[in-house]
Amino acid sequence: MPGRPLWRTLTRALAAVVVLAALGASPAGATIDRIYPGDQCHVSGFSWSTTTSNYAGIISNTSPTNWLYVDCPLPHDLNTTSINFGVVAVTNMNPGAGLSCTLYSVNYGSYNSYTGWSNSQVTSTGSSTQQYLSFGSLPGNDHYYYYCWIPPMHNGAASSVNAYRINEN
Amino acid sequence: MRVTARTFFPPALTGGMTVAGVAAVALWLQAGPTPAPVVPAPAEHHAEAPAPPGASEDLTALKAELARVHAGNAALEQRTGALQRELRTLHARLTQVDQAQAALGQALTQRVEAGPAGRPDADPAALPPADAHERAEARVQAQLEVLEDTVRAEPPDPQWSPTAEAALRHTWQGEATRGLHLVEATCSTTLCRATLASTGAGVPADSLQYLLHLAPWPGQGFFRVDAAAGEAVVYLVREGYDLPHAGQ
Repeated sequence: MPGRPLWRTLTRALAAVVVLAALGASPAGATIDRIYPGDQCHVSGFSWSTTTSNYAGIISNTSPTNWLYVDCPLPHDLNTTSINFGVVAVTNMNPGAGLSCTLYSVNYGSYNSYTGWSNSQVTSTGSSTQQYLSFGSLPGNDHYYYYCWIPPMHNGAASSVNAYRINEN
Repeated sequence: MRVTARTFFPPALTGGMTVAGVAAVALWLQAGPTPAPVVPAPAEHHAEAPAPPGASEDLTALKAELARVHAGNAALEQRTGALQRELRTLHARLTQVDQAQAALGQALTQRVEAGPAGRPDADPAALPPADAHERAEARVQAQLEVLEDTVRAEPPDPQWSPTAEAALRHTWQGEATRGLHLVEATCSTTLCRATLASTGAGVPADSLQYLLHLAPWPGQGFFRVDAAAGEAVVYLVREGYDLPHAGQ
């Protein structure tokens, strides 16, 4: 039959289309890019200050004398293998101290024993304008989080972590 | 851009339908238009007229011609029927492909919406995978080797290394560092290694975060805290440089 070879070729081509569609739509290898409000951070058990204020989705240190340490959780997506970059939006109202954050990629092996990668960034000045701390890539690990140190109030103005972002692939 | 089944499949379905259309058209073109049966005009029959000379041979030839025409016509009808059957089969298969694509798209969409737990290979009881700890430990060892090789291979930078070591000693030996004290700090051209030991039993949970916060310059680091041994090692890369990673 003259049409049979063409018929077979077309059938195979259609099958290939189906297979490629399935591969192309696979969720594996996806990039995750998420932004969390600052009030998702919680006060570390080692923080000197425990007086905080949460409003408009941010977390502020309302202590006039003590530093506030906060953990900001980063839910780790199972379809990703490493961190591309991260950003923390902060407002540092204390010109005499830097607001710093460290991005951790950690594996907690046994009691108080852990290994991992870190990337620390700090604001260079105090300013009422929101500032952004940028973090480069880090290898993947069991879990990720930001750990931020928020300086005490200055002239009644509180510094804050406003939002934080993570980009994984 | 994140590709989801929902965004991916509409074009895939369109492509599938296009291919199906091309297939049908190509098949028709290859088969060619079904030729109209060539039936000669019926010869006039003059039963009453006397047969002219040679009429018997003409009649025999005409009958033979008619037989050939009938045979050709039957062959054409047979071929046309076969083509129609093939087209019906192809149409049925294309319908199956369309249905399979639709089902696959729906399944993938559900899987994406359900998240990782929806993956067929995702076993909730096996998360994280059983060998995750071994793989993590191997990754840590490889990373430690890369960093140690870097510290050893790079010569000290006289413009930076002594200053960096002094800064580490100043910040990590001075005020209370929450249960850890600096044992040694060594800096090569781009990387410092600091060894710390516990001042008491174990290593307080917050010590490392506290030390890293006090680090004299921002940037990337790698650390290993061993509570059982009461020690920690921290590598800090020089500001403006990237920390060497295993596998690079």
